[in-house]
Amino acid sequence: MGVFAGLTDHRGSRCAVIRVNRKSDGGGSHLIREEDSHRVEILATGPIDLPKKQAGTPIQGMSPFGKAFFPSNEMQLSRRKSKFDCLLVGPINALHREIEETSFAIKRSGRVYEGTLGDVLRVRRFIRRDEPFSSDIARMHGHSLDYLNEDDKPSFVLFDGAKAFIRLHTQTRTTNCVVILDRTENSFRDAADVLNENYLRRVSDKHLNFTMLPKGVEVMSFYERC
Amino acid sequence: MSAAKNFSLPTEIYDCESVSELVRNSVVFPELASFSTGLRRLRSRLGDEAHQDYWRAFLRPLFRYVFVISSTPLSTNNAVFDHIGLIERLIVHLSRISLIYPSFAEESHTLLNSFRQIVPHGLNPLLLSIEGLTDSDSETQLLVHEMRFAKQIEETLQSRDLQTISPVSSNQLRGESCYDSLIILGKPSWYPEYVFSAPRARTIHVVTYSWLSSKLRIEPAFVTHSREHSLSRISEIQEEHEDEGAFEDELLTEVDLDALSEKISTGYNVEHEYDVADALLLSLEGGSFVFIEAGEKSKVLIIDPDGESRASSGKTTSRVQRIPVSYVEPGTYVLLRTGAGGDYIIVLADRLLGRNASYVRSTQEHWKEMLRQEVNKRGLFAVSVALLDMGSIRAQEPNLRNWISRKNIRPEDKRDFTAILKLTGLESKLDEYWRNAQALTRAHLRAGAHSRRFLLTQVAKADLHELERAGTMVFELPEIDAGSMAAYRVMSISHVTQKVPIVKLEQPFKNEDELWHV
Repeated sequence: MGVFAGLTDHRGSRCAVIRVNRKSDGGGSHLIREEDSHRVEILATGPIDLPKKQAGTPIQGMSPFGKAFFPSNEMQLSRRKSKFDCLLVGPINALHREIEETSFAIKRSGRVYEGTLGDVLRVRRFIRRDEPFSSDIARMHGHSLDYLNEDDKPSFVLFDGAKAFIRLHTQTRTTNCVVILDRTENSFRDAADVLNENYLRRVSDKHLNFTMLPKGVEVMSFYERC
Repeated sequence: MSAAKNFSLPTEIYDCESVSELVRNSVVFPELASFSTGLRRLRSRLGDEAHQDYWRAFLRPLFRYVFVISSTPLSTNNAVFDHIGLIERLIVHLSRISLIYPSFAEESHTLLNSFRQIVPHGLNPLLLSIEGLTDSDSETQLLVHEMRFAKQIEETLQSRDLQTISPVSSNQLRGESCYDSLIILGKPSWYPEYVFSAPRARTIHVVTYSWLSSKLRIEPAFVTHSREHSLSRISEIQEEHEDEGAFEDELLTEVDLDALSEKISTGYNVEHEYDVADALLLSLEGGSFVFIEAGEKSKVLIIDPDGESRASSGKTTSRVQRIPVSYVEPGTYVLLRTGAGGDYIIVLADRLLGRNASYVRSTQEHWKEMLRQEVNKRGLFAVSVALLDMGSIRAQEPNLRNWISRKNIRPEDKRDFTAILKLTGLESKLDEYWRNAQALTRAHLRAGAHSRRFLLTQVAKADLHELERAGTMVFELPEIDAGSMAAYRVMSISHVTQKVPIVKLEQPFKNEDELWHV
């Protein structure tokens, strides 16, 4: 917590001065550049008394890769607060490797920004407890998704693999789902059969247009009754 | 492996899929074709009789022989077949056929004679065909249906200077490698569909004896299949040439695990009803089987090759895990004790209890034995009712069975324990026995955690690619007196549970009737 103490110029950048310690205790301050201003949140109530010494950790801003992925200020601001967009259900170790350890790059205005899917997905399980998240992961070997209630329900659930889908799909009937199946899985055909049965009971088709679908990939999309 | 490299591998897989092609090679072996036809004819004439034990014992090894000869590059007289012993057994088997099945005697003897003529010559037409397919500049893999023959296959390939060919399991064809060339022996339908629908080789050579079909049928996964949705190149080519007739696969007969588990479990001699548990039968890589407890809360130790080589954190999970039995499925690697080191948890727990170990265990055994005597005298139901009358809160029969078992230490709730000691006349020792039971629980928990840590260290050091290739791997655990443990890939799981003695659980075994001697 801190108080706004005016503006100043620092190394050619205009900065907001946020004082975090009492003046009598040294008056320690943070200089926040204009482009980092979204890292400052205005308290709904105030004024506040500054402590002698601040505990806690600074709020992490969005990574350059994340900013390049979400170029507009609105999109960046919308991700400052936790929002449960997506629940990923699948093998946690494989997902960790794909999300946190695999490099991606994005090109914006001639510059390449490197990062991981984690910068975009902000998976609750993989980040610090106080950081804003956009998604979470349910372990395939977890017992159920019962904890998903109306107040804490993701916009959609992504099943990564046939095992995860077969085991837990009945618990997400009222949520939008994306199911990714791998032909090499033992239960690939079983999972496809479940989806085919659901398709035959569909309300209507949903046409998705994929322009760069690799060879060997089948896609099916439809609306079902909740 | 760098992160950047990780992402290039899936791209390579899709590239591989877009160029992959299938090449068929037909191989002639008239003697085996004639023998195989004779086998089929006899089985057809026998009708339902073919399922009788007498005929199963005669036909099954011969069908297995034809299958192995048709799906591996092993010569007809490879030592793995123990053909001399097999022929001797079959001669003895047919010695009384004229009396039992006179109408099939001549045909059976003729079959056995043709088998005796094929075997000794050491013919190997598949290997000759493979030699013509290899290229010293490219990497060639040979898909092996049963990895327990991998050693003999490697020796055979080396004997013909074909070291450039590496045996692989179908499990290895799920990964991120795309090979130049893959050789498959026998009928395509003997192998998992993904070998063709998600190919991991630029060229797939199917080498089949001329009397076997090399046809392949890959259906689209989704009912909406249309031109928008693409299949792999191989799948599309095959669709155009596929005829509609179903082709019966006579050689690759799956083991009927439900029938086998019923047969084995009924053969066990069980003295007391509390000595048994509901169990599922697993078929394991390498031809072994194992019963595992199938209770609602039952768990089994597994290796997850994708797991971390350290203990589970909040973010990821460890390579060694205990998962509910209901989550075990084909492809899971279960860890089972195979050495003669006894129950290592007990050994470790006793070490933690120090000089009190024998005293604590004797008090434990005392109340369990008294409870057993009550059950033997009055039956499970009556004892269950009596315990409930004495203040127990969970004395239902399944729980009572658990409390009697040596696998279980004590009831979780002291009210249940108190009722047991009241019923068995040991109430005066309640505090002492409860204290000991708690000490034993703590020691077992610590021992379990310690052994898992040690096991994890061993597994972290191991080359798990080898586990994925071979489907089995042994871990020596000398430091905790556990002898050894082995990881096995689960091949299939019975659907129906059977009552199996607790002492038989998690003990891998072979079954000669089902898998023959190879």
